[in-house]
Amino acid sequence: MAEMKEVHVYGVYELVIEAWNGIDALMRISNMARRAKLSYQEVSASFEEDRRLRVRITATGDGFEARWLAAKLSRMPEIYRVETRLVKPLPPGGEG
Amino acid sequence: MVDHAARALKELGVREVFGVTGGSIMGFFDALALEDIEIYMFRHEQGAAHAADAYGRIKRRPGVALATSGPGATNLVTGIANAYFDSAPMLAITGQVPTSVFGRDAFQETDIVGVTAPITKFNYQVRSPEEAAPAIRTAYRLAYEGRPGPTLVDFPRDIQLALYEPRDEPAYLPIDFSKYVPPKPDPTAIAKAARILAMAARPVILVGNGVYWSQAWPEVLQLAELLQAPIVTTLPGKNAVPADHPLVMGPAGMHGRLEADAALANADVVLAVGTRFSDRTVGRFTPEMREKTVIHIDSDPSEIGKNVPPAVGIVADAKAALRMLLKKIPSLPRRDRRFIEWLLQIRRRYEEAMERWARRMRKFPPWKVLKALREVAPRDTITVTGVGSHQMWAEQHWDVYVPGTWLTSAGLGTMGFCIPAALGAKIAARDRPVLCIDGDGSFQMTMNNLALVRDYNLPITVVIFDNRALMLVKQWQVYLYDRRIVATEYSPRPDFAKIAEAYEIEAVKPANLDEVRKWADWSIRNQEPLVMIIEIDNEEDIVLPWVKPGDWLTEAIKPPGLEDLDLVYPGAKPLQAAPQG
Ligand SMILES: Cc1ncc(C[n+]2csc(CCOP(=O)(O)OP(=O)(O)O)c2C)c(N)n1
Ligand SMILES: [Mg+2]
Repeated sequence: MAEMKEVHVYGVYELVIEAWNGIDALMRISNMARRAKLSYQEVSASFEEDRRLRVRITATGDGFEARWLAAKLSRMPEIYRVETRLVKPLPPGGEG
Repeated sequence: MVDHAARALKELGVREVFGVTGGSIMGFFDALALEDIEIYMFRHEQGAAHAADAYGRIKRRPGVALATSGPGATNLVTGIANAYFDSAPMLAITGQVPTSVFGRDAFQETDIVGVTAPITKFNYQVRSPEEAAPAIRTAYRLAYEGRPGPTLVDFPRDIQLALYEPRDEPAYLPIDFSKYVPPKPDPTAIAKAARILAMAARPVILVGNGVYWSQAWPEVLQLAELLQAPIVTTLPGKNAVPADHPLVMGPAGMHGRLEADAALANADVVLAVGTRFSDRTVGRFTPEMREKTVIHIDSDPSEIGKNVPPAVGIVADAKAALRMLLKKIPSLPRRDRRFIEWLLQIRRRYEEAMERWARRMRKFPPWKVLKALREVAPRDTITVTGVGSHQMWAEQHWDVYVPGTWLTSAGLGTMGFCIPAALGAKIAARDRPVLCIDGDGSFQMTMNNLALVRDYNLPITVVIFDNRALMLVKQWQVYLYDRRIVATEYSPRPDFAKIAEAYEIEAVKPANLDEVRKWADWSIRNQEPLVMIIEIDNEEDIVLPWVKPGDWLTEAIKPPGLEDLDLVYPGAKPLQAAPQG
C-alpha cells in the first residue's frame, strides 16, 4: 500500500480488505476503523477457505481518512490486501 | 508444548526474561527455567513490561515480558502501550485460562488479545500446540522487523500443558514479513528532495528516533554539514544524534530548547527523518507547519502525510534514503551562515538567562543538577527519565552524546517508567552506567521494583527530583487554571531515604551541587546503587520555555529575562508555498 496522498474528494469510498486469522482480524479492522473519521454506510464480512476473511466497507468521507485507514490497515501483519476506491463523488457536505 | 515455545525463545537468542508468575503461566516459567533462561522477578508486571521495552531499545532486539492471565496480563497493558507509542521492540507472553472455559468468565479470564489489539503491532492467541513455536517466532520477529513495536502471544493453559511432538510445522504463522522491509528509496523522489534542499534558504533537519533504529546518524550529520543545516530533534529523537555536534540545536517542541524552536519555526524547508510529527514537537500543524516545504522520510508508509502533508514523501530506510540523497546533492556554494549564527546567539542568551535565574532560586535549580550530573557521568551513560517537569528539564538540558543512550517515555508519557526501564537497561548493558532521572510522583508508581537492585546486582543511580508535587500538572494549573492547585501537591510521605534503606540502597540528600557531583561519581565509579534525593521547591519549578498547547513555536513562554527575545528570524523572506507533487 502506497503512502497517503492528501486527496480531498468528498464522496463514497469503498475499502476491500483481505486478511488471515479471520475473526481476530475483523476485530482489529473495526478497531482501527473506529478511529478514522468516516461515516460508515455498510460493512460486510465473509470467510473464505483457510481462515481467510474478506471485508468490504463503504463510507463517506473526504478521501484522506479512507486512505489513512487503508494505510494503517495495510501495516497490520494479518492483512494481505487493502484496496480503496472512490465509488461516487458527492457535493461537499452532502449526504451519501 | 511449553517446552517447544521455551526452546523457540532460546533459539532466537533470548537468555533473560522479565515477569511475575501465576497459575496460568507457571508452566511456561518452568519450561524457561529448564532451558536455563533467567527469569527476573519484577514486583509488578508493569515494571517487567517497561524493563522489556528498555532492554529492547538498548539491545535492538525484543525484550520479553511474561505474566499470568487476568490481572497479570492487564498489569502489562501500560507497558505494552508505552512500547507501542515509542516504537520499541518487545514481546509479551501471557497465560490464559484453559480453552474449555473460554467465554465463561472463568477465574482470571481476560480477553487480553482484545484489550491489546490497538496497542500491539501484532497479537495472537495460540489455539493449538503446533502453533506455539511458530507464534513465538512470528511475534518476536514482527517486534523488530521494520518499525519496531510490541507484540503479544496469549497461551491458554491446556495448550501449554498439551503433550506434543513437532512434526514439520512451519517456522512462522502465515504472515507476510516483506511488507515490513522498507522499499529502496525512489530515485525520482530523492532527486526532487535534493533539488529542494539545494535551493532552500534555511533548511532544517528534524530527527526522530527512527534515525536511531536505522543507525543513520552519520548520514544525518554529514548531510547537515553539507547543507549547513541546523538539526533539531523530537523528544525521543534526542537519542539519535550527539548533542555536542555544532549543528545540533537540541529538541524542539512544547518543552524544547529556544534555539531548536527558532530553527524549526523559521525553516523554509524541513527534512523530517524517522518522526511522526507529533503535536508535541511542532506545536500546531496549521497554518505554520503546512506552509513549509516538507520532505518526509520514514520506513512506515502510514506516517507519510498523516500529520503534515509533505512536498516529497519517501518511504525507505532512513540510512538508505540519506545515502542516496547525499549522492544527489550537488556540492554547494558556501552557504550563508547567518541563520546558524542567529540560532547560536539565541542559545548563548538562553544559557546566560538560565544562569541568572539559577542564582535567584532558593532550592536546587533542576537544570543545574542535570549539568552537574552530566559532568561526572561518562559519555556512554544510559540515561532514563520519569515523566513530568524533571523529564522536560532533562529534555532541554541533558546532553545525550552517544546515540542509543537516552530512554524516555515520550509518546505515552508514562509516569513510573524510570526505575523499571533503568533496570531493564542495566540488564541489557551491565558494563555501562545507568542513571535514572525521576520525579517523586513517577518514582512512587514503580519504586517496588527497586527490590531487583540487590536481588540481581543491578547498580543503578537514581536521582529523584523531589518537589513533592505532580509539578508538570501544577504548572498547567498555575498558567491555565488561574492557579487553582487541585490534587497536585503531596504530603511529605514517604521518606524516600527510608524506602531506599528498606531495599538496602544507599540514600543521600545533597546540600549543594558539589555533593551532587561527588555522590553521583561515587555511585557510577564504584558501581554502587544510589538513591539521591534532590529537594526542589514546587513554587520555583516552572519549566520554561514552554509552548502552550495549541500555540506556535515562536510563541513560547520564555525563561525570565528573555521576554524581549524574538524567535522570528529577521532575515526571513516570506515563506513560499510548498510545490505540489
Ligand atoms: C501514569 C500517569 N498518570 C498521570 C500522568 C499525568 N502527569 C503527567 S506529568 C505528571 C506529574 C509527574 O510528577 P513527578 O513524577 O513528581 O514529576 P514532576 O513533574 O514533579 O517533575 C502527571 C501526574 C502521567 N503522565 N502518567
Ligand atoms: Mg514531582
